[in-house]
Amino acid sequence: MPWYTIMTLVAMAAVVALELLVVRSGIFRSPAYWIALGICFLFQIPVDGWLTKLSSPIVIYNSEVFSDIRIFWSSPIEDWGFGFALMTLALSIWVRLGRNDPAGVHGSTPAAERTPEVTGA
Amino acid sequence: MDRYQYLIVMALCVLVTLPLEFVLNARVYRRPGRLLRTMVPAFGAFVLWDVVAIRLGHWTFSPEYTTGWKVGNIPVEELVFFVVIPLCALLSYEAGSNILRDGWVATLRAGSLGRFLTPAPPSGGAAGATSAPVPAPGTAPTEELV
Repeated sequence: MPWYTIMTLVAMAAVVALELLVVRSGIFRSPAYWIALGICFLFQIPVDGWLTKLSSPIVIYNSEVFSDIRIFWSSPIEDWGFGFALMTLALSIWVRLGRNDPAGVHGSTPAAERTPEVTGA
Repeated sequence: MDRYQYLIVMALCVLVTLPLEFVLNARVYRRPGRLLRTMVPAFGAFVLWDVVAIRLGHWTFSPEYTTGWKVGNIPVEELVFFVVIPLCALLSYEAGSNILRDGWVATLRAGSLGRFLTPAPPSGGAAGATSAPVPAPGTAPTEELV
């Protein structure tokens, strides 16, 4: 059974549902979230690539439990769903907690409101 | 050295993202309470998955490239991974938010290299226009340690 594939899909769905129904931080509507995800995925290519490289892997996957689809040379496609779920969960909680943090409400307080007459750059 | 490979990769992730905290003023490490409250559930959920997956043989770790230090059946490298990767995401998010909200210049000025930048120009020539002060690094809002 492709358990890693199944667990990855379940984790992704669970994290998305948690954000949309429970935590409601609004990250999916925030450009900063998508940018952060994009940057982290970019760095996942070398990091995950190194960890999973077939010539001398550090993490060794049981080929019976995943799709056996590897992207960017060696990382199982499931790793990308795993990364999405891990980073989205952390960001969802972090941003939600930020609402109660007067010094750190980001994305909802434009610079112009905080320091009138500053126009950016 | 080979057995430190996994840990070295994790250390590089921390090093590469560290400037985001200071140069781009992400202020993730400087909000330890909020950071801890974020990390605990994310870390807990994924470590649980890892424990089960390792037990069921979904993945294993090269004895050659890991230290062999373990907590239960989990290599310490994995525990480090579940701290480091969320950290990288939070730092990227905060740095990105700063730049989207305030622009590159104001973000850099508020960061630790701000003191090396020329001060904000006094209004663009238009008489009467007042340039709002960009907070100097030392006068940044005090941190909430919640």
